[in-house]
Amino acid sequence: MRSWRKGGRRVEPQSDLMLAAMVDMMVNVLLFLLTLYGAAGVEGDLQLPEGTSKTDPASEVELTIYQDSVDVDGSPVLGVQSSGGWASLSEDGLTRGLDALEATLRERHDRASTETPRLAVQIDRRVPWSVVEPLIRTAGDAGFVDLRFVVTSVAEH
Amino acid sequence: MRRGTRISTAPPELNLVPLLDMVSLLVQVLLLHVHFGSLADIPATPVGPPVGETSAALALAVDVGDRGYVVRWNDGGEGRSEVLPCTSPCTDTEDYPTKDLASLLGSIKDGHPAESQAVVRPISDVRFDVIARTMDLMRATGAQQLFPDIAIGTGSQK
Repeated sequence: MRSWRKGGRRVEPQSDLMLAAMVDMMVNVLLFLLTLYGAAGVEGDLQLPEGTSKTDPASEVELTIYQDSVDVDGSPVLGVQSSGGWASLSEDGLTRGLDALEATLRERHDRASTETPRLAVQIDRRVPWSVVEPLIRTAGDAGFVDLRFVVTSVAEH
Repeated sequence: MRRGTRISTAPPELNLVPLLDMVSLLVQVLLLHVHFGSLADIPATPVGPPVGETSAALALAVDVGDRGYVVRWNDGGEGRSEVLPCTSPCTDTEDYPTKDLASLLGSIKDGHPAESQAVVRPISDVRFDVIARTMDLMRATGAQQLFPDIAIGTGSQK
């Protein structure tokens, strides 16, 4: 730190702003927020419905129903033809797809550490019940009785 | 040309101010995102619980259709139902009579404070946000807890 003379006296300058401590704090806050963001974030093309529930989502297995595909724990299990959507899926294809979904869910269910594992169900708000119903029924058939429908938390409707 | 000027050999100080500016902005953006992106869940079971097996049970069921709600329940052994139609064509969640449903469920809960089970039964091809909104209303209205043990009826379509 430089000093100078004024009127024959040695003048010490004010100490510099200590930015290192502030940077440390900011980095900690940033890491904390990034962790929160990672926990709360959902994929971009999934629009969840709103709800006033305040219960934090907790689950052992995750079933995500998009407008055009179904994922279990982030891995696609069931897809649809992109040109025609769900309605064009043939009965045979749907049956085979649901069988694959049930097998995957049953395997996850048996692998879970708890006796009644919770299944977080993330469903795009625009998906019709005719699509959701067989998938929910399949989850029930695979042994999941504790479903947790994930919503975006709002204060009030 | 100046001569004899000494060149400082001390390492230059790192200017942290731009870094702090950037980090501050990032923190603000993340704070906004976290606030709006918080998630919660609504617990439910995929099949109907054994409500309604005895005449004493409330057996509350809310049918969600493309014309509105039909609420059915058992009142002292007598089956009752109430139709809550949409005020306009039921295309969005706002079109459904959610306030009427909340009011009716509140009055049923007042008459049966010990009951906590209810079934939501989509009876037509409604969008999932309508079903989620209905389950949310059945679970609680404001500070009042209504019927938190919700079963979602599958296999009842059409």
